[in-house]
This record gives sequence, structure tokens and C-alpha cells, in this order.
Amino acid sequence: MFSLFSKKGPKRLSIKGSEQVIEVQAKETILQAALRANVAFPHSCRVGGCAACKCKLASGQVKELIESSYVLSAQELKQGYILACQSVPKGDISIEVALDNHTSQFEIETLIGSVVKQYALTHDITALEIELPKMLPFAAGQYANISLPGLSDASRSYSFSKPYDANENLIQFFIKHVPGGELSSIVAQQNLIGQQVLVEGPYGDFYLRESQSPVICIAGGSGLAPVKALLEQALSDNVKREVTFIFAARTQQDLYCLDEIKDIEKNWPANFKFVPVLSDEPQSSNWNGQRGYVTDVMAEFLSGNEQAYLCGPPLMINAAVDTLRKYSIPANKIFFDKFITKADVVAA
Amino acid sequence: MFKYLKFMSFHIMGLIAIISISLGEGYISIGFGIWVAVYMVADMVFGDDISEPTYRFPKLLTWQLWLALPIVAMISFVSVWHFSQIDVLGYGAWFSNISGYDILSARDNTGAIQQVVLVFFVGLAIGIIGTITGHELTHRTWDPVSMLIGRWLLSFSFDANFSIEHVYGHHRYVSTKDDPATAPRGRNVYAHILISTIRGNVSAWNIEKSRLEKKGQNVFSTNNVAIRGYLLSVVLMVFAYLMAGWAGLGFFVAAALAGKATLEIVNFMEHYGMVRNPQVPVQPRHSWNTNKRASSWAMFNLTRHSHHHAQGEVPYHELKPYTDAPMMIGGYLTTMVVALIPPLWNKLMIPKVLEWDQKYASKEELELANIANQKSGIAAFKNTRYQVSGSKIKPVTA
Repeated sequence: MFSLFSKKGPKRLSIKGSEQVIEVQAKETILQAALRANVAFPHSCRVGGCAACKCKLASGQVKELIESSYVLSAQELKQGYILACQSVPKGDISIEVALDNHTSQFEIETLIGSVVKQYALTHDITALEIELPKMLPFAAGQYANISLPGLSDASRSYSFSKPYDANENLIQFFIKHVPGGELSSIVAQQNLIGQQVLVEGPYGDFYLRESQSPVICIAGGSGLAPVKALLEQALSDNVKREVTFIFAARTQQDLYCLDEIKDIEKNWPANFKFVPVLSDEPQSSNWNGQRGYVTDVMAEFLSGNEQAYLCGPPLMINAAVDTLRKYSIPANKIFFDKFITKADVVAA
Repeated sequence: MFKYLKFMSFHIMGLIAIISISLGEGYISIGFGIWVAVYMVADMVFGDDISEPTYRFPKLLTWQLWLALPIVAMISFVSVWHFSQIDVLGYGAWFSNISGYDILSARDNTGAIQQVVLVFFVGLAIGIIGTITGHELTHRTWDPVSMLIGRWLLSFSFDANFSIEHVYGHHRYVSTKDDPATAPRGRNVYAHILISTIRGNVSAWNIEKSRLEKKGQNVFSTNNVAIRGYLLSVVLMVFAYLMAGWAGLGFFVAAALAGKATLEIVNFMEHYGMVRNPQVPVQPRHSWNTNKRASSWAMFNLTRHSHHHAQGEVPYHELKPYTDAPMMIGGYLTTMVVALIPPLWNKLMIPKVLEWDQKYASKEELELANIANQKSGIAAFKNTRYQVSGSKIKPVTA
């Protein structure tokens, strides 16, 4: 915040219609900053040759690295269009650009629902099913902030674990018990049937992008929720892309929803590989599947063509993203749920 | 320290060229032989460089690139000097004096065969030291000094306007049929040299013309960057003529064209047979990559072409090796030699292109590959059709 008036510090980039404010580092272009922040900024050649990243400068000044008159029309030049990949902000700026904004069609609402089902999925993950007074449309992969009025003031972010169903007002979350966590401890230890829940959402930019390329999904622990929802939605949308789904857990008793995943696998119209991988399973156990960390097994399923969707603990995501990048999967084809990881950090 | 020095191999090779050409006679062939041997054998022997060092002083690397201009100018000077009737600027006397070897009489004894070798030698040297450096520098559109030096370097192969076509054409259309520099399946390298040269120049002219029209400026004026680009080469030709008359000019034109051909052979290798849906951003799979050590050092990572096209804004020292990108046959010079022998090229490259289809291509690209195969005029391509249904890709051999 203090950097607002200092020239050296990071500059702020706002995109009209999006709430997110993006920090732009020194010498960074608008496009680089936006992609780094996981914004689906349209682009292609990245050298100022194609104009796919053109946007309108609404306020502020930029330094242009190239003569944009090579690729922008006379009218665009007059209207103040610039190339995001060739423009370095000189200070705080705001721009107008049509983003790939699938999620902006869903209105963010605050609703009070009540718990109708509560059951254990594993020794430390609980499923909560909540009935809402009205429908709350969202994209599979998005999340909501929830709190339990009367029991705790804590509000935490959890991903919807089932896709939106227009026929019922039910939503579901998977809540992992974090020792000492204010909200997750209540969910783990108390009977909440009938309890009021404040739900605010949907939020987030994690959803299946339209494309033909194969998909690799990586879920760790309670990170299964948005990935499972995203795949179930894709199945009902008749998406025919190849899928590799790696589910990382510690031991066999940390695996859950295996029947649901099997259903997805069985009905998926293209190749679907489900790969559970366990990091702490005793060597002597009857486990015949993969052992180790996600990064130990993912390489054999990568061709470099994939779009990747990740959700799980920050360390796992960081390591997996590094591996994906090594397999030349570009940053704009890697999507991960930052907020779940943030919530994990906050709760821990 | 070495991470800076490793990109200085072209300076050493340039020095070898200047000395061997100055010595004349058989030394010209020896110098050329050293060049070919170093770049071919070293690639075969020294394997890959996949290191990703970080540089605290990237400016040093930029100065190394700028040094290419005096080196290329010097190589051109000593070779044109060979065709002169006089001792231009007293160079022969000076060289003989410090070396104790009479290069003036050696020049008189240099025969026609050596002069023909000289054309190819200088052509290759202009290609490697001039064009490749010029390519890197003219990507730096924000740096006027690099742009100026880069365009002068390119003008030694009549190609200053590569700086227009390459950025605003090639990087936009790469691996589609709209790109002059991408060789479609079935084209041989000799046809590509001609077609790509002509289409590239036409494209540069059209891009520049449209820019000037947008700005309301006269196409035939000093504002026209393309015209200014050609004028740079005219200046060099005038120098060659002043130094050595028609013979000098003739030699320079031949060497410059050989330099341009070198670039087009490289273009041919870099994207041969690849297809891309123009709607999809350029990915690492849309370039043939190689991480051969000698080539990478000599051409400062132009070899890491997959990353260069996927992220054209990245300067060469930050390019990543992308070890799982589609790989060229060998290092750059090796692959160039293979390209020059079309039957060998087809034998080695057709299986690679077909493997690319199966391993890298998206479904849309497979449809494009089907069309490209039919148009190729080569049986091995024509007999391969992909049935793209569901998730299964089936090559159907006719």
C-alpha cells in the first residue's frame, strides 16, 4: 500500500470489471504481471506481433517496448489501445480488456442455509451438506466463504465439492480438521445438523477451461473437492478430453470418495486414468498402487500438451507446478486453487 | 565466469576466419574446414548443455553480441580485399609486417577454387555471426542501439528487413501456412530458400506499408523502414565496389546471398512440417529444438527455439532447454548439412514429423496434419491419415 506514491515499488494494475488488483514488478509488462497472477489474459505471440493481447489504456501511462502501429489499426491507436505484452506501466494504471470471464456470470450472494447432512469421509475430513433458501449458481471448481453464526465468528473458504445442480438447493463441502482450527474443529467435533451456515460466494477462478488438450488433475487431501466437482461437471457436459487424475494422500485411510471417482472413470467418454499415490503408506501394507509424492509419479503421464488443474497444500502445488513447467507446460495452462491453500495456511 | 565466456565462441571462430582468409590460398579452405569440423564434430562429441545459469551482468552479454558487427565487417573487408587490385588501407602490408608472412603475394596466388570456397565460407560466417546475432538484437525493439547494430548485421545478407518480418510476421504466424519462414511438409530446402526469401521480403514490405498508411505517411519516403533497410545493404555494396571494383562487388553479392541462404536453411529446419491452429497461442511444440552444446554456445541458445517462440520476449541467456520439446536431428550445422541432402532429410525427418503428430499435436492440429500430408507430394506423408474421433488417434495407413 505504501508503494502507491513511490516510483520504485511495484505498480498496481487494475482491469475494469475485475476486482483483483495486480502488482506489477519493475520492468514487468502488463501481460507478464497478469499471467503471473493467473489472470486469463488473452495473448499469443508475446513479442508484439499479433495483437491478441491488445487492451485499452483507461488511466495511467505505459512505456511501449515496440511500435504498436505495426499491429494496431489506425482507429485502435486513436482510441488509446496498447499491447499488453509490450507495455510496461510507468505508475498505477487501469485498462479495459475482455477477459476469459466464465465465472463473472455468477452473481456473488450471501445466503443463510442449514446443515442437512454431516458425515465423516476419513478420520479427519468431514462432509457437510447445506440446504440453501434459493439456488446459488456457480462454476464447478469455485469456492465459498462459510461461517457458523452463533458458534464462531471465523469465516473460511471451502470449495464446492459437487457441481451446481439446478434441481436442488443443496451444496456440499469437504472440511478437513486442522488441529486448533477454529471452524474445522467445530465441524469435526460437534453435531451440526440443523445448524445455520452463512454462505458467501461463489468466488474463484478455478474451473475447466475450454480446450481440446488433455487434462491432468492433481488433488492432495481435501483438495479433492474442487477437482472432483470440476470432473463431475465435465462429465455431465460430455467433455471428451483425456484425463489423468492423480490423487495424493498419506495412507490408504486418507483416501476417500473412491466410489464416486470410479463412477466418473467408468462413464468418462475418453481415456481416464485415475492414479492414487500414497506418501506415508507402510511398506508392509497390502497397497499395490503408487507410492511416493505427486512429483514422483506425474512425469510419466505428461506429454507437455496438457492443461493442468491442481488443488492441495501449497508445498505440493509448488513442487507440482515446477514439474509441469519442466515439461514445457506454459503458465497459462496451469490452474490451481490458491484460496484453498490460503485457507489451509490461515487455519493452521 | 565461464557462463559468460561460453558465448564468446563465435568471436574466436570469427578471428579464425579473419586470419585464415587473410593468409589466402589453401588457408581459406583450412579455415572453412575448421569451421565445419568444429561445429559438426563438437556437437557430436560434447553432447547437450541444459544448464540454466543466472546472470548478474546481462549487459556484458549484450556487448558480446554488439561485437559481432566489427567482426562481420572485418571478415567482409578481408575477403573483399582479396579481389582488389590495390592494397586497400595498407592492410596487406600491415598484416605481412606483423606476421612475417607475405599475404600480398599469397593473394596473387589464390586461385579460383579458393575464391569459390571463400563465398561459402563468408556466407556461413555472415549467417552465424551476422544473422543469428542480428536476430537476437532486433528482437530487442525497446533498445535503439541493439536495433541499429542488429539491422546493420542483417544487412550483410541483404536482410535488414528480417527485423520487420520476423517479429510482426513469423512470430505471429509461426507453424501456420501464413508464415513465409515455416516450411510445409514435402518442400525441399532449395525451394524453401527461394520461396521464403521472396515471400519474406514481400511480407516485410506489406507490413511496413500498412504501418505507414495507418500513420498517414508516404510509403516512398525516409519514414519507410524497409527502404532504409535495403539502403544499408546498398551502402555495403558501394564499399565493396570502391574497394575492389566489379569483382569485389560480385563477390560480396554472392557471399551475402550465401549468408541469406544460410538463414533460410535454418528457418527450414526450425519449423519443418509443423502445423498449428492460428487461434491457439504458440507453444513449445511448434518449433524443433536442440540443446547441443556447441551449437547453443555458438548461436547463443537460438537452439532453444521452443522456448524462444513460446515466449519471444525472453532474452537468449534466460531461455530454457525444454528437454521434452520436439528435437531436431542433431546440432545446427549437422542438421543444415542433412537438410542440404533432400533424400537424407526425408529419410530422417519424415518419421520425426509423423511422430510429432502422434506425440504433440492437438486434435485440431491432426486435422491440419491430414491436409498437410495430402498436399506434401511425398508418399510416406500421403499414406498417413489420422482418424480423429473421441480421444483415440489412429493413423490409418493407406
